[in-house]
Amino acid sequence: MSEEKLKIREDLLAGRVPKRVFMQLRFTLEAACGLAGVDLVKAHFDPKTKLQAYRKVCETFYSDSFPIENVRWPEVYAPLGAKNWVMSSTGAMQHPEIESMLIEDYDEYIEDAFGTIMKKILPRIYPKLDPALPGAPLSFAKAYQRQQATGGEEVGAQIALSEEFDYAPGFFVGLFCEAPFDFLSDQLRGFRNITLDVRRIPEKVEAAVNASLPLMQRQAIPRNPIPGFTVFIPLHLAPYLRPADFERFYRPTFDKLIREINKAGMAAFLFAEEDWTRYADALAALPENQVIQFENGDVQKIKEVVGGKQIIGGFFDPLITLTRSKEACIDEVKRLLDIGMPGGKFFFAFNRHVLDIASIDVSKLVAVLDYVHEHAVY
Amino acid sequence: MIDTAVLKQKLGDLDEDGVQALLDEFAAGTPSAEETQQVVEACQQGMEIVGENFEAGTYFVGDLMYAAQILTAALEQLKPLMSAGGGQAAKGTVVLGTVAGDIHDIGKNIFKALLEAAGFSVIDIGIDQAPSAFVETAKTNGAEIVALSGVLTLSIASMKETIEALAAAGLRDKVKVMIGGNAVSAETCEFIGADYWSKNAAAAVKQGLTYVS
Repeated sequence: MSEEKLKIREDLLAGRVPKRVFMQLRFTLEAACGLAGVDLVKAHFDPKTKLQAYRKVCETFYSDSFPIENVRWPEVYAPLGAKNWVMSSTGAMQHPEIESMLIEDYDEYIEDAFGTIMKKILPRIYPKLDPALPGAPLSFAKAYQRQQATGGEEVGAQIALSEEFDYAPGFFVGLFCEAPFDFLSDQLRGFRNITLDVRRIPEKVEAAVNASLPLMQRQAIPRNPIPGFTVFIPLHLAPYLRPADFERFYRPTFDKLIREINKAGMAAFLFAEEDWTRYADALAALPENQVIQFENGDVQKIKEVVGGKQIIGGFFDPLITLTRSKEACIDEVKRLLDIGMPGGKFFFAFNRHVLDIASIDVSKLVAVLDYVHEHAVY
Repeated sequence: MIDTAVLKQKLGDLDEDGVQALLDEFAAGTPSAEETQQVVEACQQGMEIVGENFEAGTYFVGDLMYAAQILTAALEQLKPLMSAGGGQAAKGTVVLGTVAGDIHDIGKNIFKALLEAAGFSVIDIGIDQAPSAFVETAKTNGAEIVALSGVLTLSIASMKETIEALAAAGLRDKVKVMIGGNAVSAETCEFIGADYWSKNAAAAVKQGLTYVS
């Protein structure tokens, strides 16, 4: 593994100015298949085809870490009859709006969140785990077996390609959870329902968010935490909330979760979805040196408010490679680097995953990434 | 008859209980179809206040969703009272859907509620819809507007294909194409050949009204 890339990553995570800007890309399996010209459905189920698609991404685009993220496997969700992850007509796995916890379940959830998930919520998300079905244990066993097998294949592919292409580890190293409010909204009540709940039954929402915190802590922090590891936390709903609701329902448990992760010797890798400029102060107030990838927002303001304390990246929209000239794309990334690089604590990342190859111009994106690799040097 | 100015303001203030109390009072008074129409219009004007607050940055997406919920419930309650005299004629027909490859529908549903509040007839064809579904529905219903929704970046390519399909069917000059969602921008709008883009459903409704006036 490249000592140089490892050192850059270490310096970045420690808050030191590295030799150059660390580059972490994120392509999906769908994009990788499009690039490699292989069938997506075949790649979902055939490790060799998948590896071929991954390798094509590694060969084409410069990155300092393994550039593909594929953690939603249809072969795991299918035997569960999953409602929370489904395949679209193009073969991509997506998360639809779901309501797995009914409004009348609030009191029970507040009293015993884990028990309610096990007894009521999981069978709604995964109907084939309904205890009334004789085949439920077999469905669980199938899903578990496939998760182990596919997970092993994924890790194997990642290790093999990381060795071949000399990658350092990225920031997503397998540990994952959600902010407690996002967990309640995203997986249990749904976006529409939670919007009504915060207005109609705010006390119950607040109590349910508090009840979700220990679950998220348990999911985020392993029994034997690994110092220096990052826990990936995608942040969903704060930008859609009123400031008072953010302060009441979102921030307290989010803040506590991050502090507990840090107490365990790890840091958070946050993906700030949509525009968090409004809540930049809240991100700056977290323990120092959290890694935060931003989707949208005022780069200058976020650098000023958050960048002095946290390690920030993102903002670069690969879609512009479709709509602008190569020179204009490079101008845009120069602008981003000029704002982000001073003082360090900055990494290069896309503002979101590249989901399919039709949403980028490959040659222009290659030029952008080569520019960053060669010129984003301290 | 209730005070429609108060109703309008209560909806604008997102006072769900206040709106409900006024509508209950109104329904209990055996109103005429004409009075019911006035109340519907007050609700529509209340949604305009919501839209203005959203554009001004004092309301957020969650507020729009809540407003849509209050409005949908209000119109459901008022619908039986309108049957005697019929409602106002639709201001125009919109074919609305999430484009192929994308299964997200929250933004689409907010836009739908706001369009209906503004008096449009909306044909919602659902999520993950192929270009042919938009084309056929627009053709069959003589739509003035085709509204394409999508959250994911992959939706941009699908939107482009849909607009190309409208052109191939000879409909491109007959409809205005609006795009909305997380990935849209002025640049993507121009790139795919749409007429209008927005991440702001309230502003998009205003634009839609200019297409049918």
